[in-house]
Amino acid sequence: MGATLTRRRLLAGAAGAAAAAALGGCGTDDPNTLVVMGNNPAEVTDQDVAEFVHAHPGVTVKFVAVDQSLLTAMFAAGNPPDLVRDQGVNNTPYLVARDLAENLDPYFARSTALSVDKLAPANDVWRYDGSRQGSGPRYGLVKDYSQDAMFWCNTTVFDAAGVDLPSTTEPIDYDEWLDLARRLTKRNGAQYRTYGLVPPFDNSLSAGFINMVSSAGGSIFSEDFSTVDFSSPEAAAALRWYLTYAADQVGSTVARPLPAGSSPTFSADQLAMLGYGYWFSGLVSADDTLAKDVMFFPAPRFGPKRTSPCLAGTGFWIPKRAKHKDLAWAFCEHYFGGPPATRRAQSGWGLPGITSLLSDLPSDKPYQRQALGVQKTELDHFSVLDFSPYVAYTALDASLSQQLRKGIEAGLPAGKVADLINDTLNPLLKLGKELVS
Amino acid sequence: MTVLERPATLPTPALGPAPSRRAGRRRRRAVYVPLVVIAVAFLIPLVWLVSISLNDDAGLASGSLLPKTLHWSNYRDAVTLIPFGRYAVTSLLLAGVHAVLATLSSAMVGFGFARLRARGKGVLFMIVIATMMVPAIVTLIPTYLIFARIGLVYTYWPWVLWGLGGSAFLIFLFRQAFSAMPSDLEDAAIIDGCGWMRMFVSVFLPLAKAPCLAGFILTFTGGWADFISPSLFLSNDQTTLAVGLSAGYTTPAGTPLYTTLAAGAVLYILPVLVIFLVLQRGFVNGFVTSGMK
Amino acid sequence: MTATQTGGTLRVPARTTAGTSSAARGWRRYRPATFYGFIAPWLAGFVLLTLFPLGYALWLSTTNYDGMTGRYRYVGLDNYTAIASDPDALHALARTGLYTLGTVPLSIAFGLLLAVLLNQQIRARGAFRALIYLPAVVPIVGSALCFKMLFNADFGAVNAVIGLVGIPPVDWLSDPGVFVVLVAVTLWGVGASMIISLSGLQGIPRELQEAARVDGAGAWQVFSKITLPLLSPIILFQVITGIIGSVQGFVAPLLLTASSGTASVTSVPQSTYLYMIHVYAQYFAYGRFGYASALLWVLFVLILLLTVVIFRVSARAVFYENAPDTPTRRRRTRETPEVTR
Repeated sequence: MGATLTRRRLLAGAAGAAAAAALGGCGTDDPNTLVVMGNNPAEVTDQDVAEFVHAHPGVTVKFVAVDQSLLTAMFAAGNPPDLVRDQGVNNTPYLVARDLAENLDPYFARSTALSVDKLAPANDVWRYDGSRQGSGPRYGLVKDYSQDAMFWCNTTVFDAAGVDLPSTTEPIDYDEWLDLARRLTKRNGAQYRTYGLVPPFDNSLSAGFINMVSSAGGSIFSEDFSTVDFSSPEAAAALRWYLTYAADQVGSTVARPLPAGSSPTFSADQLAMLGYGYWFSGLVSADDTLAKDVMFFPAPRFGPKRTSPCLAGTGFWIPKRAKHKDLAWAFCEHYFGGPPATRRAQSGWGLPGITSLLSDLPSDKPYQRQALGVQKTELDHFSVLDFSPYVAYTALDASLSQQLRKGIEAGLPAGKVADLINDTLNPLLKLGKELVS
Repeated sequence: MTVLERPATLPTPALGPAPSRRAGRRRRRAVYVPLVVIAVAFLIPLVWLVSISLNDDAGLASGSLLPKTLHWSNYRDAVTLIPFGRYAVTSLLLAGVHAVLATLSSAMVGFGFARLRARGKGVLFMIVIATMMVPAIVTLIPTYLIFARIGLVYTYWPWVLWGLGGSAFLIFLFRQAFSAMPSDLEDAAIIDGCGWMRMFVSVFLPLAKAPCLAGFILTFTGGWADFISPSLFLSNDQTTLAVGLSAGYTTPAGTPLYTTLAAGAVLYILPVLVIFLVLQRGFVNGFVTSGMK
Repeated sequence: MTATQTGGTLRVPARTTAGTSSAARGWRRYRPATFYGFIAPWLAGFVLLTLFPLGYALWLSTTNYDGMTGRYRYVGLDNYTAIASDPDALHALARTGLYTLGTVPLSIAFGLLLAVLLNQQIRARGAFRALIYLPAVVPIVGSALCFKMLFNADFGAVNAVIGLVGIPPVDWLSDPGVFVVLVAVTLWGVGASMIISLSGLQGIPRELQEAARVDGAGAWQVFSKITLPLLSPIILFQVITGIIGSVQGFVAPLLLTASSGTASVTSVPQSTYLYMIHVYAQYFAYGRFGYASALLWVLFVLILLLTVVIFRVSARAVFYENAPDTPTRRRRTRETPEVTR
């Protein structure tokens, strides 16, 4: 009968559709297709890809958007990408503890293009020995990096406010920083002419806090990384600093980001101090007016210890269950050790992950020379932050953002905010620990 | 989507003469004043959106309520700064395919419930009605998790599957429509040797043009408006206008472009308003939609 | 003739499908396979896209799944007991309750008022109806963006207007102002409610009201004694669908946040931190899939309970004009003239 036929056709159609979709998913079984979760063409340029394909005839490189839910979905479907863009600083222990990332040590051992002795110390953020970040096997590489707790000053704003620039050799401390910000902020109620400061929290709140706390000699985590304690004297002091900064209304906070975004405000001479690393010099180079009024400064100290970590360490890792790991490594050799790496160094968008490329950093313009000078001294103070294997840094950031926002809006004291953060994060850490151990 | 239908067949009641003409006029004036105030107030947000879409940053900063010169270039920026065309085509395609499938599938199911008999029919129809009370969002996230496992996310297949499954409300609508049709149609078709499927397709479906149109429009506008499903099931570069637009417009350095965003929003809203104004009578008299999400 | 049911039982205009002419032939027509063939698409959809996801979420809610690792285990009711000690969940629930209480009754009352006004014989009635209904068809993303512009602290029309009377600019899109904006954007769509009430009003025979007036009843009496009782099923319908709609509130609070760029669930201000925002945050910001699934099920059960309670409570107050043929149920039979159409 008609009904039966149609029904059968319908069901067949649906089943066919499902099968086709499953096959046409994001990963692929084609041995010559490399699936990269990365930003093309912004970070992996078309030229980078063309060179690679030229050297590996028959290979196609397919990009999928950098998106945590997509990654989860691809893993769940048993079809992860071959290379994943990620922040090594924040994510390495988490990835390794979940047995998601491939140990790259054997690849380094075999490789001529990329050997361990060529790597800048910043690549250590991608190392994890099962208890501490910074040592042990390598699970990824940085494409470039910065010591992100440093900052830039807009000299036009300083001049207009009649405020002296800080020292470019000796780091100021966070309280002096806040004081400068107060003097540089010009506002009438909620209407700002200039903002004083955007501290180095734009990329990751948790990384910024871990840096502050470690400078004060503490840690937000317990010894075994299974709990957080924001009530410790060092962590509570960091929270108190942030809440004071927010209450002073001198810059961007989680509750009130700058309406135009941080770097446009800085470029428009409406922001005095911007907590970005060396990579920002790449952005400045396109703006000749701005290039004349920027200066680069060492990372301020929160506690007695001078720390200047990388807060992101963006690079790539290879999933353990990836289908084309050798091809992925070949791409790494090209991307991290070949011409793309040199081009990146020459652009000034961050420090190269390969030590020898330091000499390729731009130094034509005066601001570039000033920044490079400060940066080279700062390299001596490079430090690696500790993150917990039991919680994704995105969850740390989410909790900090949510609870700090609450604290700012309700005018809560630091101790109360610390309790709120502990209460949201510790169940998560407990869950994470149960899952991976 | 919760939708409520009023049978199109119901005649608008003839309005009898008011008891006293003068009292009636006075009462009417008391009716006009609040109505005009409310109608104007309801239009202000849209007028404001259009006004911003034609303004520029200097105009916004100066605090003038209306643009001094009309910056139509905002509209050009709106369609060029983001892949507006691609988003719009995706929206159109997903909403369209889903609406066609959901309408036809619901018509078929509604026909089954209206004209056929089998054990369990009553219970099943109760379930159809009960599913209208299940918050859509409760099933959506688990569906996403399941589809992620079988590789259906970041594809357009979920919309096909949702379409094939039909919609409880439309099934109800079609059941009403088909129940009201005379049974002579059936008898005649059977005498002609028609099977049920042929009878449905060539006799009953053509008589249900009104509910078909209503179902299509409701589902289509619902799909065009949907934000959550595309933001969950699609990646940023293959997504729909609702999601693409809400991410906003910025300069390469990250400064938000409000005037361009307003222009984009106008372009996004416009098709729905046009559909509404064209089919206004149907919207206001025949069926009603209220936002699901 | 609405989608409203009487105490969970649905009645449709009784129009039997089989012709009375040929009972014998009629029975042979109906083979169960044909019926099930016709409803197969819905049945498959219901099982695969409603029942299965609900069951999957129920199962997840008893695990500690985090969305990434394959290593997760059964944790019993732990996730459910955790809800009681999650202050954010309780806060979000309270906010959702407040939002529901603030918008559902207002929408219905306001919609009914507009419907009464627009049921009068006035000039340009169609245009008024269209204008007031218009915002209800604006997609939620559009209306959220619209209100974001309207309430923008720097160039919004609202601050410009209150500035005229000397009130300093208000930062509407942060706490606590953003809750007002959320309620405003919801009420902007009151046209949907108005149309439903209007269709109900048009179903009330004018003779009834005329007769009451002739008997000396005032306008208010006619409204409260005749119109309102006859509209009660429609109001009940709106209460239920309104609650179901508002507990799902997600897109508007998400898009109304002040942050530039892509909105995220963790930057939603406290005052518009609705339940679904919390559920989303638990799923996709914190990766607590098991816990979030438990939150989802709690919402589902709450809605079911609420619906049942509302039906029970309203069984006395709601009047159904075509009650007689349903199975026995506690219902007040009223002495009203038979409605004929």
